[in-house]
Amino acid sequence: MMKGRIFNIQRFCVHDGPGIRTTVFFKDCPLSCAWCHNPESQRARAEIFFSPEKCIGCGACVTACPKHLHAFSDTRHVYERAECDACGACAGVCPAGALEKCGREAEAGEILAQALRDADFYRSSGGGITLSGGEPMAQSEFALELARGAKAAGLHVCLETCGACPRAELERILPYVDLFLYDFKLADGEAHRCYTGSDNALILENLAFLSRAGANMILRCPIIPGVNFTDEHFEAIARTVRENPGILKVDLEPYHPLGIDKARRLGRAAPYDKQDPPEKGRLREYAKRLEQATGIPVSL
Amino acid sequence: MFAYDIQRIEKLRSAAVEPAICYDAFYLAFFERWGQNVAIETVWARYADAYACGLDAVEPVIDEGELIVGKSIGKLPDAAAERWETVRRQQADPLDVRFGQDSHMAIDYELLLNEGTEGVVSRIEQKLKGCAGDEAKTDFYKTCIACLKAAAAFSDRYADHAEKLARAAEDEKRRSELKRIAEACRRVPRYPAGSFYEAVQSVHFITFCLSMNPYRYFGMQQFQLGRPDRYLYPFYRADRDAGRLSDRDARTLMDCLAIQINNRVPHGLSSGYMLGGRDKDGRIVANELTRMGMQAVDDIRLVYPSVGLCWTEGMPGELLEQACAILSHGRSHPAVFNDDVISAGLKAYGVPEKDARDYIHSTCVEITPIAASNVWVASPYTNMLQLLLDLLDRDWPSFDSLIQALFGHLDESIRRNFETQNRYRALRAERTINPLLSCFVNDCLEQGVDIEQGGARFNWIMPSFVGMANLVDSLEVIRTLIFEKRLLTFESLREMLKSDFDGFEAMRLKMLNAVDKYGNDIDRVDSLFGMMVDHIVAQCRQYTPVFENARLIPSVFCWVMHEYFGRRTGASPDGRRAGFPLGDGSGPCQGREKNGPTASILSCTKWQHKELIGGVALNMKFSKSTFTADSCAKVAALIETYMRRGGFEIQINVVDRETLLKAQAEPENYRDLVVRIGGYSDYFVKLSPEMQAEVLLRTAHEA
Repeated sequence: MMKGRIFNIQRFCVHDGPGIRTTVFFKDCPLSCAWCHNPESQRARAEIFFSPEKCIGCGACVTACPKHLHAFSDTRHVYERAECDACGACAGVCPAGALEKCGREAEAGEILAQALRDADFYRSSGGGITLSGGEPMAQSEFALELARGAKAAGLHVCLETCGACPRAELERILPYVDLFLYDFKLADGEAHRCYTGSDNALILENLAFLSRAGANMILRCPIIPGVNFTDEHFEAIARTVRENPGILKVDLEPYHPLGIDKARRLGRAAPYDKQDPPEKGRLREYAKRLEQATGIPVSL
Repeated sequence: MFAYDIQRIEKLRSAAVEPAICYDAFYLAFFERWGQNVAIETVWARYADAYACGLDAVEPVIDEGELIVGKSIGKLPDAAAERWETVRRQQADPLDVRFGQDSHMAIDYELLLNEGTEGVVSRIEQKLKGCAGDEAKTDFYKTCIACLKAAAAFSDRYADHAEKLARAAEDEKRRSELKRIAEACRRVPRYPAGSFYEAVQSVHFITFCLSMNPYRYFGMQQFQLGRPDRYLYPFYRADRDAGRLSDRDARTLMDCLAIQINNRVPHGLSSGYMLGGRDKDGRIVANELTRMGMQAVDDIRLVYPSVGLCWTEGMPGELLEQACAILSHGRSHPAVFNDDVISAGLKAYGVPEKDARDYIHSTCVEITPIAASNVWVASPYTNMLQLLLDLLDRDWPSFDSLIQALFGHLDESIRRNFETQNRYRALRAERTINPLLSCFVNDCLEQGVDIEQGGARFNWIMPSFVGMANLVDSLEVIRTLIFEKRLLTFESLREMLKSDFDGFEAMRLKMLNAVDKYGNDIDRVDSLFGMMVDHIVAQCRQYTPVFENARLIPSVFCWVMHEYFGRRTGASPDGRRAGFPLGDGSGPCQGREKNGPTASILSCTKWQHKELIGGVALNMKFSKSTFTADSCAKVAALIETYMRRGGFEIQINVVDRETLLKAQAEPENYRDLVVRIGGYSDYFVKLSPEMQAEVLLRTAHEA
């Protein structure tokens, strides 16, 4: 069995598709959205979260690190990230959770066994398993194996994807996906490149392809103040829905600043660092208008 | 949902947030008279006389807008208060029976509604005919009659008072309401209820009377209102069909009944009713009163009623949906109970099939058969963690040897506690009586024996075992770190615990974070819980308390004892600091749940709940963001899965951390914020700082 790189398996997810679900978070993503609330997912390799406020100064990490990247200057814990290869030795000995390794290898079988433990809950709620991340299609072989195994085990499968992958890979996984959670971030290619690192031509083509191929889809739209919280963007969403009948529902994902703190703990700065979510009243207005314009449910 | 009289209910509920409940007027009059009656020969006659005197001294109170009446509020005036102090010391304290349990039951409301107190008097008079020569029975019956008549006379005085208020009333509408109240108070509880309105009034009024128990004047009586969607339903149906009652009025009256619970029982305790489930013929109970009874929680937004919705396979989905909708508004009720598991458990303890679906949660989660119980719930609470700590003063050669010692120590504790409770039972039988209550608890009248002397059908004693999760987590730490990984010795553990981990923070965090914890769906540690439960159940089965049909039946819930015991328990091997609260029930300890609610439900249902009729509470806390309109159905699915896996009870609290922090900062603006504790609810701002911190710490399932 092949191994994939994941960073979390979260149980009782209620916002990642229908019913109660277990969501598998894949490491690595072809995009690097400025507002990403899981910055630990963007890179393929493992990384270390460092939360200095949890540090109790025991010094176990100092001894454990083969590269001597941890030290105490007076009482302050200093961590030299530059040479760190995230071997995780420090995280393994930290009793306080101040150092945590994010990213590990897992076999599809192990993940499925874990997911199946909640089978009773899926049955009573119409739930299942969701592949998310990061970008599952960045490890498309592994995603395929997992999806195939999940279907064989009788699970409902959701795939959350930004769609920036070769069409052939989507085609291959399509028979094993019950519902796509498809991201729509920005309509204009230039703006898309500016904020996510890549343009969106392929993303939109893949969306159209899936729609034509009869895939069931929910369009996931992050709403970011100062970026796309505009009339134009909502018109673009409406247009996209009209052009792609496979889209059954729109989920508006209002920005929240949790990613900023995570980025800090990864030793990075978040490119988009506003604190405020989109104004509720205005967002609800947009949602209502969008529902009227498209005739499909729009949720916040 | 049907309409209701919002304005009236809003006014009444806001007046009931902090009622100054005080029964001292009754107690002063009872004991003063008792003291004067030294010459009366028998306790029975002396009680009968003093009881009538006591009720006679309670001033009827009918406040603006009330439709269902009967409460005793407002402190005694100074002169009377001084007299009470004296009388208390001279007459009441010597009769003090502070030991043992009381109330925590529901009486035979059907008997009350169908026959009235006069009907019960007639029954007793029949019984008296066959008792000539039996002094004990004769005395008992005569006292019962006296108390029943006193209760009816008390209601007459309410009628008089209502008439007086009516004459003075300026508002036409209120005048006619007061006249109706007077009519109702003359009819019930003396006669059978002739309408839904009278039925509600009768039920409340008798329960109000029962709340004044001379031998337990120091504590508060906690009576439950049983199954209103069963005994009130025929009255509702008849009135509705005849066009005499609108649903608007019915819902308003149910809300009034619920509000009066708050005027009868002070906060910090628990009182309410149960709804749904199946009746004695196995038919699902799901009617308009089921829905109104639930809705009252949301309408009145007070600490009571403590509502239990009984889930049974096949019940209409709308009931659970309604429950989840109410919970999503931040209410701490209803809790959901498993009718199928509980009735099976009751049958296993000898309750006949037809009675096994007619039970009440007694206050929190303790199950007692309705109309037939003298069951002492939570008697006593045992600190499971302390039992382990007691054994850590020496080294153990193996994990198994420690477990065996723990079992032995636990067995000894169970035995000692049982003997104590049994002794209390005997003492109470010698020194107390409760004739009015005995009239409504089978089979006291049938047998001619007071409830305190064993006249009830079921006389169980139900100890509760607190801190099970802490015990299990501590055992797992010892097994892993001492015996398997050899990172710790008993000697070093003793040192750490003695110093409350001072200087050992790294190891404490390792114990807390690096060793598996109960409630995370990890079979190895979860099975320790089951091992303890199995042992406790088997041990308890060996004991037979005094009186008929007496059993020792265990429970796993804590009320406030997790905080009480926690304060008195030193540091423990699970990484818990000295003085910190213990876990609150059958779920994982606060803050130790890492794998979400599906995992904790799985952990919690790997062991058998059925035999823990004493009560099992699983507390779950969700933040508001989890509980959107969308995800309500998912929480319902969570509950159903728990039930189908054999879960006994689940209680859900939806709060945000933000709201709780605000309530801490501005308690005056959050006086009515109710949170769920270990089987019961209370106003958050009234909790001790430690309890507030504990509530905050308890897992909030962000999703």
